Amino acid sequence: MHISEGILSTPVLIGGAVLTVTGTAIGLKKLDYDRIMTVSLLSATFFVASLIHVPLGPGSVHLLLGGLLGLILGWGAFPAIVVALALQTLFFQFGGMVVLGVNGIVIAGPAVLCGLFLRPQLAKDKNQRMTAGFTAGFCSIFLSALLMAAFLYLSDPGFVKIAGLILFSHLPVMIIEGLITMFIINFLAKVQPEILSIKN
Amino acid sequence: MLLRIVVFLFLLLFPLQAHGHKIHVFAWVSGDTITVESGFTGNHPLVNGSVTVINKENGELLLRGTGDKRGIFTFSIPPEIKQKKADLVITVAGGEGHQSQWTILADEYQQSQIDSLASTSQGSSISNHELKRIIEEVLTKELAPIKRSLAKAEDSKPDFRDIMGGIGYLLGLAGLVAWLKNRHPAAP
Repeated sequence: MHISEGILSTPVLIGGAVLTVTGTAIGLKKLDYDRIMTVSLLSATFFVASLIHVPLGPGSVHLLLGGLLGLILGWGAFPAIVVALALQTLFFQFGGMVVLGVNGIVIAGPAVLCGLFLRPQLAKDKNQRMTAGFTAGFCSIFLSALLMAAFLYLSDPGFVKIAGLILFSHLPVMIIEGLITMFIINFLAKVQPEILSIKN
Repeated sequence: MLLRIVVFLFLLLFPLQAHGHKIHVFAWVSGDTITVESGFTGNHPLVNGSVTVINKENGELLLRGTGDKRGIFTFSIPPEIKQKKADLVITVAGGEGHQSQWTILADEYQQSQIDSLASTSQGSSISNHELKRIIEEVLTKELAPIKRSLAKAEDSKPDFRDIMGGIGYLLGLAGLVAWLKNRHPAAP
């Protein structure tokens, strides 16, 4: 899910950077600073989740857990993801500093969107909560793959052939992320509901 | 702290399946051919990766090709490239926005050194051409594993230190933010 350096055109890179800076600013503004440790721990979770590799077909896909961050943190997921992405670039050479803007909006955008839409469901009964968890995991990856394809296409229309492949190859990740997010949310609701800001 | 447990579980998991999503490229010269090997971190070959070779100086596209199932693409160096003495930048793209590069300097494929070495050995029973070929063959064979391990060393996958370092940064940042916020407590 990390786009490498040297693939995207300059206007696309700038556009992505502007969107990510805006998102991060809003995220920091809306951040509840009493929950700063939760944000940091979830950011760390995102940081390592990319190393968990699911071998599928000829390619390889890895977890992102953006949906989980969105559900728990809302707008706060944006800075959490962007900081973790920057550290992944520094430590793992995933993506690159120049494409950080695009990678930020591709991964954090859908995470926040899913979080904002599905967060109210968490306070309802168990079934609603599980559904919200699965949907957040699934949709955040789906939308991220869609955004990534769109950015590649905007950069070079020749990438249109790859767009379908990107969506297809991420289908298993969508399902896996959906299930994992669902279980984590369910588990947290049982054990530590205050993290989800819900009363049990 | 439940989240700590979650993070810890991930930490336990990663040594078993720690692979990033990063392409590594490694190219070497043997005689008149250049072999390009590419794969994902952790010894997964990159199947059908698209390979492009450009002139480093002016960015001119010299060659284009596709890697095989093992992630290997071999091409013989075209004479016009040799004449230009161009440094070659080899880019391998795996689709889906992943790509990586390797540079081959002109010196690596210019044969002048070996030629002069061969011409000093007049009077021996093997021809210069033969000698040159033998030297090339032996050197290629002997150096290939070294070049390969050099490339691997250059392209290490994330290790425990990287991961702990990253997590440390994140916790440190949180601490910093918390401290900055508390230095000037907001009016109640």
